[in-house]
Amino acid sequence: MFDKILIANRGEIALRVLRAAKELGIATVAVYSTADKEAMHVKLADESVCIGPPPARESYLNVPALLAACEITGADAVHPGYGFLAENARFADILAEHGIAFIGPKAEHIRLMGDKIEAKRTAARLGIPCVPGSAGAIADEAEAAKVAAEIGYPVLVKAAAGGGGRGMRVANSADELADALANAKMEAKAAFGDDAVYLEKYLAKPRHIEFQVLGDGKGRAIHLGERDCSLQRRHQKVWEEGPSPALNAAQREEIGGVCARAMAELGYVGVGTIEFLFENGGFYFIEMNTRIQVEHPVTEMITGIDLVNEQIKIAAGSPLSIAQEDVRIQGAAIECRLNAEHPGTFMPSPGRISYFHPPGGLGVRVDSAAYQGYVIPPYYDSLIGKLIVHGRNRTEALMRLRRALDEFVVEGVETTLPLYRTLVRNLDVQNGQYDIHWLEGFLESDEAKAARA
Amino acid sequence: MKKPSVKPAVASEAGGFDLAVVAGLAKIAAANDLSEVEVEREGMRIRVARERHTIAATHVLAAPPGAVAAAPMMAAPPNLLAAETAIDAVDNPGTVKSPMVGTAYLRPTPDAKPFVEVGATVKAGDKLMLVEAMKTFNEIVAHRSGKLTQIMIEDGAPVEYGQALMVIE
Repeated sequence: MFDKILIANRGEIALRVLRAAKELGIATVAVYSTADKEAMHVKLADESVCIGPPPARESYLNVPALLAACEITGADAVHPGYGFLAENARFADILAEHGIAFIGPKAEHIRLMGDKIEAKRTAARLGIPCVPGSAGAIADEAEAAKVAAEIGYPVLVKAAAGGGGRGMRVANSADELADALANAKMEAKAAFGDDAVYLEKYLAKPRHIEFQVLGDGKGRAIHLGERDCSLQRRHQKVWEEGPSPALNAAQREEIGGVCARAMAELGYVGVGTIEFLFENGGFYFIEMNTRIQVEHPVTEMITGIDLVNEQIKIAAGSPLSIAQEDVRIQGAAIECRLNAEHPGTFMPSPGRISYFHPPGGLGVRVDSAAYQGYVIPPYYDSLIGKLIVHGRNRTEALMRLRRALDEFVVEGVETTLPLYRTLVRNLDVQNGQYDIHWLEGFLESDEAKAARA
Repeated sequence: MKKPSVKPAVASEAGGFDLAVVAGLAKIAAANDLSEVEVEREGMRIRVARERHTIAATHVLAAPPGAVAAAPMMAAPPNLLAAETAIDAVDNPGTVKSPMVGTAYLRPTPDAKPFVEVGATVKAGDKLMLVEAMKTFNEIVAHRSGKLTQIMIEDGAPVEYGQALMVIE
């Protein structure tokens, strides 16, 4: 087992990793930019090292600084969290060259799934159903038109090097295709440095359903059920829940099984999430995330399994200790991402939290690095915490969420708490009747506008 | 930079007087700029007193009666004095701050003379020290001319980004 883990991240996930490491009796090193000097996980870590000024490029993305920090503290493992270098294969390689463990998948699998075209090819090869689309990158307009005609409009032009909803353009008809192609390529080149694009059928009203997987790289892999993350704004997940209100046990078992077998065959190490669009009973693979995800607590609440703990044990060489038949989905869990943003305009609202009272009680979990007096720096994302509730069924979870949201007080900065208070009282949300377009439609509605007034 | 807590040293007893304990207490007193440290165990009480030359430390650590090397005392960062001085130095325009994470070396090679000593006059651009990371040595040069009044770190000490290294007045 590792002696000392260096946490190469910040905010709530850094605190999450710290908690898991401490519970395993592993020493912790927090690295931080000058802007994060007062971060909660920095205070709680056994050791801390300032690695640079606020800009991520000079701190959290600064590989030499991270390596030097490992060197001077003697850390033998690095946990990358999510974002930053979590899916940077080169970083994983460099750590390996220096004899430091990377708590994550093999670099080759990060690379494989990072290329969205290769990821799809691999998924198809492993028996995972995919969205109908081009076989690979689109060479030119003519090929695009041909493929689009075959799969049928509307189509989606997607960046091969993209992900997380970026570098995508819809073409509703043949007339729109040329523009969609050109714009997507331009955005892809600017954002990812690679303008390779591929085509997919655009699904009208799908749900976003993702499966959590866990593998030990020794031929064993399991699935831990799904999370429904359909409620999104600008491709950012806002509300996640598990199990999905739209799936039954048979569907879960079927697709979950396909995912688990695929990961076992691949020899996948650690945690991962296989994302699908789900429409009319059909699952369509869109991408795989080779990291721990923001919404992992939803799965932890319904399975009772500590995912970061499993990540660390597997990275240290332990075989998977959980068999598929031991995984039980119990009750329902819902997570709300608390952002320091104006609830109506979503404008970032950094600053000092003057009053902070998180909710408590049975089945209520708050994963947050915020505290009263904490100053949210303006340099990073606006996520200040997650509120996760668990109930014996979805109705109980919803009642608990409503109660917990009403109890949660954050003053001094704007937060998205009011949005969640509105959502939990909304009939469609209560009935689980939503797709990936629902939230944006709702935000434009009179009901939402009135709530903001 | 936060460093791990110092683990209490195991005292060796030699006929009544525990010299290791006395030496340990003297070290603690000096490191934390205390005028007096006193411990008591099994009827034996040891008190170490020293003359303090520098400005009073704002943290006075009272040694709780009881076990030698009590954990709360040991938990005080060993470089508290350095931290106190560093607080004054951080805003001082003469402070040379580390631009990177690594290990600081005050000499070009282990047996050579240090690059500079306290009291030396330096010119802007003069080599002050090295910070090494992953076998690569980076020169730290003076950002201004003046008199080198403080060296806050020891040869071979780990340093972090922004850490105060030296002061040139």
